[in-house]
Amino acid sequence: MRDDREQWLRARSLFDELLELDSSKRHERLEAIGEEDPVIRKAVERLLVADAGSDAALSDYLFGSPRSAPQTVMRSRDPLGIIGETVSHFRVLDYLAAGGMGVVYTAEDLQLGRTVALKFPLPDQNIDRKVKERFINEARSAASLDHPNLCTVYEIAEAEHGVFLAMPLYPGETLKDHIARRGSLPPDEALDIVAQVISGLASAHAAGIIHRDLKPGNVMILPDGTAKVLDFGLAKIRDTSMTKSNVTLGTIAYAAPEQIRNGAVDARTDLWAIGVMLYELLTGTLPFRGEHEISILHAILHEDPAPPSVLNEKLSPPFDDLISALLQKNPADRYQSAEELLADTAALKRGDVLAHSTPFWSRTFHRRRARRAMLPLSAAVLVGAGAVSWIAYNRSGTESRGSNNPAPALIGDTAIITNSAELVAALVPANRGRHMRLRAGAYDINRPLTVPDGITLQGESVMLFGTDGRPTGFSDAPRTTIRMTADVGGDVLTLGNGVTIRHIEIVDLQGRSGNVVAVASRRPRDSVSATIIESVIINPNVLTIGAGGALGRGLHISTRNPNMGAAPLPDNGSVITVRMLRSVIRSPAGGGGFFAYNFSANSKISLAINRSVIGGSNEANGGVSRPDAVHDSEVHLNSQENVYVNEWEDRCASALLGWNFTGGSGAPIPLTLPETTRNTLRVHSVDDRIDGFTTGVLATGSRRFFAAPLNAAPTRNHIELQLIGTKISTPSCSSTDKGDGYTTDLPVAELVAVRDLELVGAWTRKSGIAAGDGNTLRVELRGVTGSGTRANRFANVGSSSEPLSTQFQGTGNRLQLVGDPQSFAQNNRGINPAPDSRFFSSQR
Amino acid sequence: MADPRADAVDRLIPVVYERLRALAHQRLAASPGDHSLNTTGLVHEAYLKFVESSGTAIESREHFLAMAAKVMRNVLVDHARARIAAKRGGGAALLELREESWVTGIDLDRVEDLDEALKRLERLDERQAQMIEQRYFGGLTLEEIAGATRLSLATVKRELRSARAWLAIELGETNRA
Repeated sequence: MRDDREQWLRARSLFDELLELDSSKRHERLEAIGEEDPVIRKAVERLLVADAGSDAALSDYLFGSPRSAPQTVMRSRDPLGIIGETVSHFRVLDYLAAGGMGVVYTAEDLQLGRTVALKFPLPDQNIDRKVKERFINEARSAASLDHPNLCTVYEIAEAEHGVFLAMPLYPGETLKDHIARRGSLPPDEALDIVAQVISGLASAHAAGIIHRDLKPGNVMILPDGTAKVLDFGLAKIRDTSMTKSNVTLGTIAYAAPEQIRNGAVDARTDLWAIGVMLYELLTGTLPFRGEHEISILHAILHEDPAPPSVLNEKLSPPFDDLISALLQKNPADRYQSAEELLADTAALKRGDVLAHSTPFWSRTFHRRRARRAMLPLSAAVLVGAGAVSWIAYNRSGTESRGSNNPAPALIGDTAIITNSAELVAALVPANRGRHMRLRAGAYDINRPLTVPDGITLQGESVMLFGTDGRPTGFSDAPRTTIRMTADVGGDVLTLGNGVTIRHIEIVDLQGRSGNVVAVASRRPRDSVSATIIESVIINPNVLTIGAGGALGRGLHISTRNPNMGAAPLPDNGSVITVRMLRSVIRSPAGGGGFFAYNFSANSKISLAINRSVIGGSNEANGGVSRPDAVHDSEVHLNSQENVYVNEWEDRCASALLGWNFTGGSGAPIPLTLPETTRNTLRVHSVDDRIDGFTTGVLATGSRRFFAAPLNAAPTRNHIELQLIGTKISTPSCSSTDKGDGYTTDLPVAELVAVRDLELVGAWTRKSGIAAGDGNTLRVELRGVTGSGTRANRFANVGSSSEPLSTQFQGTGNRLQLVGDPQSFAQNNRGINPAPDSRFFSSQR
Repeated sequence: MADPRADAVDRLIPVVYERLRALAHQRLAASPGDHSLNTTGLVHEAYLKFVESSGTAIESREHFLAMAAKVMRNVLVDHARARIAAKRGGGAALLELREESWVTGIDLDRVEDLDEALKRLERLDERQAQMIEQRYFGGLTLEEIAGATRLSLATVKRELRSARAWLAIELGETNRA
């Protein structure tokens, strides 16, 4: 038994190792293994063969997959076995469909001679008499409703197979099929459908009937465009038999928070579902998503979805406002009646102002009006590539909101903050879950602040946008600014878990040592998720390394390993997620934009940046060993439609990197560092622009700075770099390659090499320091534009003092480009020199 | 390795696990035709009962899902066994008649095969067996497994890859035999 374990352990580690090798190397290695131990060779070979077919072999064993939900009822051609029989006064003709609510047959009404649809709730023996009677009563009153947007119910009867409904056989399709076929709908059309549904709802609500299970599958769209709501009141019959949450399983995505928590269900519950449906119709995606029902439940209960206008540019801001007013977690914050909602839907259609004001996603209306007015200025700002001059960050004449009254007014969960004393007093854990509205003005602070978990800070600043949809900075007024005024160390604002920053400008003091906004793990296995929306971060400082790590960044994200001595545990197993949307980071002194590093093992950082403009160099590293080994950590950067720009005046005077990416490395300090291994950096960039840096993108699978016994060699660190539609423009400088493009944390005031791309599998500082083994960089470039002839560099192993003698090159370090040289040249432009053909995956 | 916070959570597992299991059986006994015996339905209900209503029994969603996977495995295996027992003894007609609707759409032979294979894998590598359980009985995504096991996604992928290859061999033999 002990032997078996050891045997398996050895077999699988060889298997892991062999997977990394190409077929010829793999064969060689297998031969070597076979000479030593033929039994293990055989075992590993079998694993490799099985690996290729394991997906197919195991697909029938995915018992718990949400995809394998039982389908028996649906699959049957006649689930109740009643075709040809007469039920009450209906002769059953054919089986039509099945849904969460029941099965539907077509039948002939023997009394009236017309063809109808019969709907039988799913068979369930557990419905007691009382429940059934209640259902019949409610279904009867629903049937008594007469409204063009409600499905007519001819009659409700009970037969051997249980209670059933007779309904007209409508032509057309369900709204669910309609959107499956068409994707998102044009705003006018979506509004029209939803207005009809609301109109039907209003009539039902007036009669005291709640739908409870409103969703696109329960709305029929007839060929003339009429919407009909189906299954009114039917949800109730499932209540006792399925779950106590009043929700049909599988359609949880439309359920309201109070419904999930088993609270009182009322008319406002249906309005929430309208909000979810409208969101889906307009954006083609659900507001609350997840692979598992729990994920969806959790999102419904705790998360705010992205404003619909972010997902669909065609939507005017009032759409955000209307949906926001429907998707309020607390029913009391929603529209209170279908009539009220109907009035605003009509106003929205006409382009009028909405009556209902909402606490989240608000202000967009006024803000975009301001944006339109400011367009000529903002358009001018972004036209010159990189010649960026945003609105001055050190505005004079801003009235400081100083006061000694630290008691903010509290309305519900929203506190109105008017001065910095109130702000400081408000940032306490007891305010978890609260929204802090910071009135326009400057909030001067003299020490770093931590925003406790679950707090939203929302200012009144108005973001302006260029013609390309990217933010150009805040308008002069109104503006909410948090200013660091004291020369103390630390990060100006540290965000806790669940913190959101909106519409706020955060300004650091010039010459100070620290970062502006920080998100960090605070303990082992910590989980921190923070969001920055339409905010501006101003970082007037330069990149430095302090005792505690990197400083001078606009947005500093790290899982920490404070174990520079020995005592505290590193924050292993931490997870950080940061989203930044339509925001601006300015680094006019050549400081850093974002920084995402794992300093702890088994950790993960996810950073998503959309439609933002980032000034300064940016860095990400899957894992960096400090005195503790960092392994199996991961950074995932998802960057879309951003501009990364060098704001340093003399572009040829410094070696600044647009993107500086590493799979894993030891810290560049002469300390005893254990092995940095199996760390990963994934970068997914779509339609980004990288402007004005001497090196556009530097990526190395691993970096090693010192030889043993100081640093252990890095092994099996990896980068997946995917650039799609990225535009890289580097300045044109007369260059002398100092070959020192790597130690770039400090500006080098000399001529430097200018490169669009520098892609290296593994890097070591110099000959004499072995590069480590199995570090890889895999790159996919599609539609990338470079700047023409530059000192691009591509290598499996690189060093700042090449050539690197073979004995220090390590084994298995590799640069791999997806595709082949021909398609590379076709798909990408201006990358010159292009990578050598040996680096392409299809060239062996 | 010993993290006090993890210990606290681990101590709660048996309590919640037992309740989950009881819930699964209770639902099945009460309604043999109920087709909601799937992870989704069970876990959904249990999540609301324990996590959302009773406060903070389980700190993470992933942890909870991992437990649910364990429960699913046990309940499914119980069913596979009950069916076989019923077939062997007389009077199985009724049971067989309802068999389809017990655990609809699931091949109970495969449930047993996978369970047996997993027991062997547990002896070789507990962590890998746990991941397979979560993936195959619990339907957890790789990200969720990473969350539940507190390992990086890269590690989960690597461990699952060799475990799956091993499993494919094991199950292949089972099928041939």
